[in-house]
Amino acid sequence: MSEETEVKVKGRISVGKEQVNFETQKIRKRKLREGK
Amino acid sequence: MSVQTFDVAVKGVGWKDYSQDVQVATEPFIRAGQLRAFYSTRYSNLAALTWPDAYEAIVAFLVDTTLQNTAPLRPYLFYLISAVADRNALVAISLVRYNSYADYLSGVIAEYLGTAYGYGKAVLELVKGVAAQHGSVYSVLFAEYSGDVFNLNVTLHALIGGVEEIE
Repeated sequence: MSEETEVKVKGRISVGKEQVNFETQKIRKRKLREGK
Repeated sequence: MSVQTFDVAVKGVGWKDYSQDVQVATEPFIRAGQLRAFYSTRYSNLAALTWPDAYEAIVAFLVDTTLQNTAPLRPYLFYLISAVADRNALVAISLVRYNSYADYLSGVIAEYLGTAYGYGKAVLELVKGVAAQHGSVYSVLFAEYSGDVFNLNVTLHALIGGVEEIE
């Protein structure tokens, strides 16, 4: 697992009539569980 | 809408046995008081990954026009998550739950809620749905294993409210 880094994205969350656009998001690296 | 279809078995000569044609729809019926939630994120030029590394992003919850990291009291029901790549490379997607934001920061996963793989596209169909627990943190792990810089579209579908009857 690594530290979070902020990357540029094109994102949208919409809930019913509410909508929020975002242009950055924090992501980090970690391992997928193996065997599934 | 995503529908899983099974072949109809044919026995002998005559009518097909349609009683064996079972369909499982992953998109639930919307009931009164429920809202549909939709997340769409386009990642561009992410650094190459090698198996089993993946990127992880928190699923934010929209509450009163602000985003928060932990699940609100009003339950979200996740039912479909997909990742689509720009090329025919192995793609993986996974949904995990942490008991708290502190657990997320320290990396202590409470449970894995599902993982899906595919070439070019991975679709995680949560047929029974996963109801978000109040105070928990949910994150999506996603990866593309072409061994090169990649772009990925991640979409997540949820319902809000009215999940009290879910087993």
